Amino acid sequence: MSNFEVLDPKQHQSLRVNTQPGAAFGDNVMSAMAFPFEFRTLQAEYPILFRKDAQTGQFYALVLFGLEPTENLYLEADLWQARNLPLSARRAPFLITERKALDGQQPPELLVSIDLDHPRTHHPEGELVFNEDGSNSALLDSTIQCLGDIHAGHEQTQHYFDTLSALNLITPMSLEIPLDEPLELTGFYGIDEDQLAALGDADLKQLQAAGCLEPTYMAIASLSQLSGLIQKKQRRIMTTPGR
Amino acid sequence: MSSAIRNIVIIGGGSAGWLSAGIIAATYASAADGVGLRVTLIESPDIKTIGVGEGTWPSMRRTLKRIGLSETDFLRFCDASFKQGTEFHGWASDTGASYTHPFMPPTDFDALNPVEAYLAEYTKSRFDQTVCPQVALFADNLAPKQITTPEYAGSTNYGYHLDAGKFAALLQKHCTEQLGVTQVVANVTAVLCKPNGDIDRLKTDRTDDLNGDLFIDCSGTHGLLINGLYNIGFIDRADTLFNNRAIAAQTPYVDETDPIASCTHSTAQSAGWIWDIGLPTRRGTGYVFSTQHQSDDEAERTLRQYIERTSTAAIAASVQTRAIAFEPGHREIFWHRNCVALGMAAGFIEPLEASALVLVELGATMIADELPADRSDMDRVSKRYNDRFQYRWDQIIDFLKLHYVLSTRTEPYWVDHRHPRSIPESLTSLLQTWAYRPPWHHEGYHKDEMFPSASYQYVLYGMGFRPARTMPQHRHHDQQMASARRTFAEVTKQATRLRTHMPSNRALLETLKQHRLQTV
Repeated sequence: MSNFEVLDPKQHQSLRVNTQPGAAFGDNVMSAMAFPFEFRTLQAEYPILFRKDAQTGQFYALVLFGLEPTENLYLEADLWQARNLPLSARRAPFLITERKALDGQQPPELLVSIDLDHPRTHHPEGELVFNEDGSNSALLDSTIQCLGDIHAGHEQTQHYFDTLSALNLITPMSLEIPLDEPLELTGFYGIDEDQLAALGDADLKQLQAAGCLEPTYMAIASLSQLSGLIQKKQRRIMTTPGR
Repeated sequence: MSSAIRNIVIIGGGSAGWLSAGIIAATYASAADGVGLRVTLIESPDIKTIGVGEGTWPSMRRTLKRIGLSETDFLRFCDASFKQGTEFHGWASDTGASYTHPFMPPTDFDALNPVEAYLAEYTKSRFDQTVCPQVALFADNLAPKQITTPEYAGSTNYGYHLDAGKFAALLQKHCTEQLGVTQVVANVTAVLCKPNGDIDRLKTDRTDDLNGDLFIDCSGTHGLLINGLYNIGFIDRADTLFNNRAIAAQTPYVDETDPIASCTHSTAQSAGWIWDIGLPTRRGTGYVFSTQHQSDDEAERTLRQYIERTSTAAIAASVQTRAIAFEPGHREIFWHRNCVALGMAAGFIEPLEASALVLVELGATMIADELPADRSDMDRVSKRYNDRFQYRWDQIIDFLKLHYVLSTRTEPYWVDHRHPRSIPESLTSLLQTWAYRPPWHHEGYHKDEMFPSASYQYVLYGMGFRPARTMPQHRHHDQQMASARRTFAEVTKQATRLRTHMPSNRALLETLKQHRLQTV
């Protein structure tokens, strides 16, 4: 499975990581987590839906790449057919980990770890993680930026959904996908548009002041990408050999 | 002078008082808004409520939601866990199999009466396990829901086990902080009546007089108003249900990670039965028995033996026990003039099937929903109320008695329970009907029966009841049998699915310490 180690210039000096898209690298996933500050760019490409974490029951947002497990309709061979990727889809094989300060007083230290067993790791065509002098490579610098943003994104997610829940703006959504063999996607949630339209001035103002108004409308707008996704799926079914 | 009903005064700060306050106050706008209802609760500073563990019915979920409490807060604050039914041990005979009364009806119960097919082909299996997938959760102490399930929703039907003292404290906080209920801490020193006999106001030892249009007596067994003032008669039901004493003990877990049971366990003894309910931090155990048939000392020994068997000898020897005497029965009427009695003031029957809190919920809900606008409307409402609750008490007593009359145990206590004179005529009549026709949807005549026909089926066929006479075969017998077989196969599949997906009560409650359930 996974085998994470904290990155260390001495230990991982010649380590290479391939950042190309591809099914072989684990990109054939149905969805990826998305953070509210990304909604604006992501809504132009993907449907944004909400889901509950199975372990904690707390909401998070995701963008849909496919309609079935291990299906990514944006991935064609080693090309990702979209202008923008969510941060979480650019993360692997890196991960941010927290190391609690020994005295328990200081905020925890954030460390970059790498999954040594990930197919992107140790790849001959990959980029170096550390330069020869032990300094961070361009790849690592952009990774650190990405991981920092993800860390902030998790906090924003919690704040965003707490605000939405308090105003009863989240509603279950079941997606019926009209195909020859219709699919039903369950366990998803979205914005309750009636409730949003009925919000009073004070609540609306609160939503805006909390920075939650824009992502909310972006999430609503993103649903128009569902029809695009269904079209991709239909095209893929048509071109599947043996049909 | 206006006689509009705008001022409700509740006497008693136990779970009955605060639950009624919550239900009524959550229904109407607060008097502070000028158009609403004033709800005042007076409780004595000298009477401490006792933190016994109690079971609720699934109706408590609707009640808490109506009051506006979050389920996460409720579970955290009240040391509460999930109750999905009751498992009875040793009731049919001292060696016999256990059976359960789960909160869910048999699968497809609207369309299919499972009894005929069960009796024809499935009697090698337990009735409950054959017809209801929920029972499969009990053995492994699994929860009725997952962390992703919204508040007050479940994959199976459930109520709660809770600490009644903590429950009253949570309701008090919510009622006073969120629902505009006024709390008065004082002793009632006198009750002053109007010339017509209605209660006008209460005098207290430390506040101004409390005026009210409607008074709710939640003052406990002695019934300050219903009994103390109005002397409403008490119907003693000890002739039918003899239990009149309980010895209770808070039993710690051997290890704090011990499983928390999914149902109340009820184990028959020589002169009564022992309850065992799982809270997150401890078990609530107690022996409820008849002093006609057993002494306190013997009863305490029986309880300690049970605790030793289900825990350790050290715990059994060290738990503190507390004896509670009660008179089984209820008032002749519950609503008299402008006074309604709820909780122990209205009556008390042994805790079998946990009818105490649900009667408070039903009573307070009816008071709230059918609140008279004016004093002149009140006698009509109170008559409806009294009719309905007399019926409900009778139904509860019949249903509890059913658990005893089907037993084949031979101790004097159990033999006495089967004496025809101790069995209400209404129950005898039902048993005579069931001798050739199983309970079905036409059993009840009222809109809101206390017990659905499924409950009667679980007890009857769980205890091995068999029809004495046969009916002509149904015209569509074969189709019905085929349909029952399909349904029972589906029950098995559902049971497996539930067992695969449900977390343990302990695991879910641990997660709930960190994370909240969502409202959707």
